[in-house]
Amino acid sequence: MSDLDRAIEQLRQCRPIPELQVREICFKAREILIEEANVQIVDAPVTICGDIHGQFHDLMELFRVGGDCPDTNYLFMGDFVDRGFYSLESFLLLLCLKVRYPDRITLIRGNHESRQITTVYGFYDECIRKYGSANVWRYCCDVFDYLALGALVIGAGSSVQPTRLADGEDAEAKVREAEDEVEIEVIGLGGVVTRQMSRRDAGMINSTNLTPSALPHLSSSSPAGALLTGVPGTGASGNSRGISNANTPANTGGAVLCVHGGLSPLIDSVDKIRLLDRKQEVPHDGAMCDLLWSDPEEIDGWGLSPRGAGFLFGADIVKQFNHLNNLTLIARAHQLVMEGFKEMFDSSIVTVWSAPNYCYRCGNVAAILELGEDNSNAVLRSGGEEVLFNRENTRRLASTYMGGSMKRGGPGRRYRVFEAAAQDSRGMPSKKPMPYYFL
Amino acid sequence: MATPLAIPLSTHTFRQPKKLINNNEDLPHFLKSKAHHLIVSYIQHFSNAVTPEGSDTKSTESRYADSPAIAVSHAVSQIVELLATIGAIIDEVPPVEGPRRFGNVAFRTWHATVESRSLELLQKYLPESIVNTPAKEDGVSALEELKVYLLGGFGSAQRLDYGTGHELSFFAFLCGIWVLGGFETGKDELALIFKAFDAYLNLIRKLVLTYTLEPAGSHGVWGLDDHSFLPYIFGSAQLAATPEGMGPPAPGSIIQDSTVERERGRNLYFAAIGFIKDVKRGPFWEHSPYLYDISGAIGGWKKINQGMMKMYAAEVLGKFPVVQHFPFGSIFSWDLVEGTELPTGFPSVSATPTQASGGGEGTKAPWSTIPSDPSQTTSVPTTRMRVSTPVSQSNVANQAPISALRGPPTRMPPPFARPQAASQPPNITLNPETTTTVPVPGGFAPAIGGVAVTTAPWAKAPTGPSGFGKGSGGGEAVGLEPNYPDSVAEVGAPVRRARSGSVTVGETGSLAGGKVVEYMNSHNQNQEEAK
Repeated sequence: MSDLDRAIEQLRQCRPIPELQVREICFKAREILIEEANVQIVDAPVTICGDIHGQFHDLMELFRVGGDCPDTNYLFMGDFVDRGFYSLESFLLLLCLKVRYPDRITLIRGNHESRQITTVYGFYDECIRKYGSANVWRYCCDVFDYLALGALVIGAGSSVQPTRLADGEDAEAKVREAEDEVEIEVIGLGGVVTRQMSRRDAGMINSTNLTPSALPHLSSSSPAGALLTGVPGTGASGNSRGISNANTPANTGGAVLCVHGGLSPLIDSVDKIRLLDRKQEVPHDGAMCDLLWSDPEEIDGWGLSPRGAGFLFGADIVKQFNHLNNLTLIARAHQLVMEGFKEMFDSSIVTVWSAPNYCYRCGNVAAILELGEDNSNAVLRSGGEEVLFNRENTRRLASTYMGGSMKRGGPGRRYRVFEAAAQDSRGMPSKKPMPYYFL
Repeated sequence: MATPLAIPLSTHTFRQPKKLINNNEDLPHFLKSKAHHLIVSYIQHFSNAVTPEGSDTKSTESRYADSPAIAVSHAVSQIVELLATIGAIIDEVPPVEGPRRFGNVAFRTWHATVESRSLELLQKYLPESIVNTPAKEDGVSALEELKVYLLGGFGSAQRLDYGTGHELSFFAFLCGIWVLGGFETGKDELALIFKAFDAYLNLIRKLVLTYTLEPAGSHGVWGLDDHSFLPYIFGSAQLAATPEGMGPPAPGSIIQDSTVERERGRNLYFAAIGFIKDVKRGPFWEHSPYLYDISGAIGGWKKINQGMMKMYAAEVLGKFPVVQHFPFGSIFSWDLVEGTELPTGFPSVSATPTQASGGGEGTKAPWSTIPSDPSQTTSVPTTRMRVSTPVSQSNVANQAPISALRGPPTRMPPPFARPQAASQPPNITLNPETTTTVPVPGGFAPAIGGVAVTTAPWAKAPTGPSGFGKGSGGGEAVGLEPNYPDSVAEVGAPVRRARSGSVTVGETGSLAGGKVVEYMNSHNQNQEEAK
């Protein structure tokens, strides 16, 4: 077992690794990250995750639900640190996995991956408390500067293979009905399929029709676990055999842009993101800042963000951006969603939130988004650059979606919803390091 | 002590309180202002008052909040009534059903209702001497001045959050009445804290639960408490006279549910702990490590009480994001305390009057020009747009022709060479409608500053990233590279870490005031590593 594997093992047990080892791993991580593009190309299948915020035990739950790394290909959209008690363990574990399996996990930068933000919202304090010095915090911050700003998922299938249900007549019927083309599947708590929507369904999914009461844990009778058929670890690749169906314009879900916050008025194309000089602290404004700070909102055009950084952007902005860039979906994180995920603007953008019961008190569930691969369209599978410049094809698809009767052109997507991990056996620390004021 | 600070009603001219702390540079002025002096004096005064006079059991029990010995005067019971009336409005405004991100928008209705009735309520419940004091021709009435502090005490309707800045505002409301002779020094202290202030805290807890108000500027587990601070000062004072190991529960017993349940009805500290346990799930030491650590303080409750006051001075009163919206009028005066001077070269701040603003702490970035409460300002919409701080995507790489671009440029421009004052790009047209109503476009408003939302801690020109456990913020202008201090400056300065967007107090104290933290900025660090 290599040192790295040992470190991973130790971190999986939520035990910090020695400072020197952190230094070494951060150094290696930087060497890997420096080679990555501002917008990293990621092949489907991939499982997309939102904010973690140091909720280590919930991150373990995420891996349990979504499959382990490297079995599952992961994409984390930033905000690994701050607010939670285990930012250090969470981030270092993800970083070790990145170093160990660079092609199986993608980490992009969130607004909390910043020196300034971490000194305010907890990660700095946590490092001081756990190591007695700021060294580890500094090593981590140096890694933050190298994280990609976004990712482009290509080769996602237009449908997910419906998760088969053991019995459950109603559900079974629903599956059959939607069998040809399941665009959206929601696997609720306990692995229960709570929703399957075929591409032909006109409705759009959002929190309006997926309120917490629709989640099994909140209703009285839930057949928890009984119907779980998705195999963790292969979740994202549920669509293992390509489904070809004449009813659909094409069998590709198109490209999905993943970014922590959202769009920027200074960025009208994905290519422009590639021009940014990202290897720096997150600036207070400008395109790089906006990508990490902005939020979608029910407005027209751009609005001022009440956060004081980034902007608000409306449906028209998203649709135009997606159209111009041949995207079928933007996946982002950055905002707490009680239901774990929320699609907006006719499913042109989705917020994914992966920190359940945020801050120990919000009572929200978390979600991850699985994009299956598309086996039927080799062109789009053959590499990032190619798809980027294979505009003819994707633009045609995009216009079909946007102009035609098709309301949604998004990739097939499976949301797995999960709750906070049980907190039974977490030992109490014996030491109480005394805060300055009380010395 | 309250007497020298008293204000004679008959001759005094009351003023409409105004926001005067506009950036980090205003803080030193505030810390030497009469308002600051008044607040600190009263906190000290009440903390002393609720501290038992002796170490015996009888003395301790005399300072239990439910002690029958506490005499409640008419003036105090009127405040309790006032709060009960305000609290009853919650029943009139049930939370809105349906999907929401976090905070419940019905809170805005509640808040507006309270505001609309506030003057009437004050007339009914405040002492007649204050109610009947007419406004001087060049001023406002006493009630109008006090009203601002009362309304500032119930969280932000805009952001659907609540934090220590709001708590401070309500405390100022009580102090204001006291200064105007509404309460009797030497008699009303215990009842005011244990009945009136406790009623306020309970009202706040009900508000937080009913409308799921977010903690303003939450640090998550790395703060003292999501919402409150003062109950920790007064609650620890209640137990501060008894030597360790005798009588009252030891600080370490905050983790025992049974002790918390027993004590929360009579001790403000335990009541606050109890509320945390009500709303948070998980091990206490994990979701509240700060309080857990403090419970091991050597020196017991007395030490904790002293530490809490130090911490309050630094983390609430000394934090720009928390106190920036505290309004100054005639009771809480912006004037400097006699005999104090600002450091030379310090700009005189009273020359910068701004729009009056409601209380409540700001949770947006301080440099932003969005008024904290649009309903109370007359500023034109353009001031809310970020016109004055152009979106400077000034990265030189962006000026390269797009066509040539695939992947990162081979040669990265130097990260710190960012031309400032880039012109606003043509493609940004802020929607004027939304920019004036932000952050409440429609019913799905981003609740800013709370658990759900991170706000930017950097401020307009001077605030900067002033964290890092050092002195006050280094100046830095928007559009410039964030200015990471390369070394520690001003060790032990009272203003340690100004952050915006926040109110909640408390970072780990190990960093607080004076711990020297040395690091280099990333750029230099990288170069060093490269060698």
